[in-house]
Amino acid sequence: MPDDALGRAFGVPARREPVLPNGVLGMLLFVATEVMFFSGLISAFVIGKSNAVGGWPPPGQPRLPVEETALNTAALLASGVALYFANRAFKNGSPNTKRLLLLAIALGGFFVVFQGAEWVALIGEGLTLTSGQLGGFFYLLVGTHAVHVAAGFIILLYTYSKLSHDDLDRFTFWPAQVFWYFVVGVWPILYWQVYL
Amino acid sequence: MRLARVSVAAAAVAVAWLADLAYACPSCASPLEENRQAFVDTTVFLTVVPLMMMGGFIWWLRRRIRAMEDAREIAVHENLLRDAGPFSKDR
Repeated sequence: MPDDALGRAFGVPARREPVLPNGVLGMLLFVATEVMFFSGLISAFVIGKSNAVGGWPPPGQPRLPVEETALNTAALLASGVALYFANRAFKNGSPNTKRLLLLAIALGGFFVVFQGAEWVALIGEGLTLTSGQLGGFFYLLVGTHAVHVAAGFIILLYTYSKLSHDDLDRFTFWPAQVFWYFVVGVWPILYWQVYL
Repeated sequence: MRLARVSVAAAAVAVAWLADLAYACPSCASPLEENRQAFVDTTVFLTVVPLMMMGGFIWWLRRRIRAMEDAREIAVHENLLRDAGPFSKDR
């Protein structure tokens, strides 16, 4: 190894960057368990849907707001894109990092608020956790995801706070991104399965 | 000793012979074709997802290790890093 040889020649150990920082490895393991958790939920939903008497969505149940949620989906995807560019700006030491991170947080916040409003409307129309199979699965799947979005939102706020105090390093920023990309990436699958 | 081994093997075969179908899966005996197909699809999905995650992780890790090995590092003594002005280790 050239760097080791150089280090030996000068009598000092070569400084090496870890292949995978502990924080990132921990977050990746956590996200892997979350992927399996959501896969289980989606599988249960697919089987439940195929077993429904009278077709899907069940007759007499409120319709889910497909178009409005498509807009919300776009907002969440845009949040992921904004975070990607925030990371690029952070790597280059660009002052745009703050603005892009704030945009990602704002879009994530918009998603949570919009979904809350959607839930209020659906509950008003009679779709509750106990109103039937559709309501049960809807609140379980979308609610579980909403909890993750809220958690990711808090993580991004923490990241922004650290950035504001010039205290953010990439070993903190990276795991936060891994979690947010997971939250953003799993949503289109849920939207496709639950809404369409 | 040999008799004991043969007895254990015979017992294992007998137990296997006695085993019957257990309908633990509510979808396997469903009269609905769509339901049975959904069960097969989700079984495949849940089998493939962890394998893809592990495979993807190993592939990404290999790529990252190679990229890090290609980027040559320079050995710098700790004392030099400590008083390097704006490039100081502590900053």
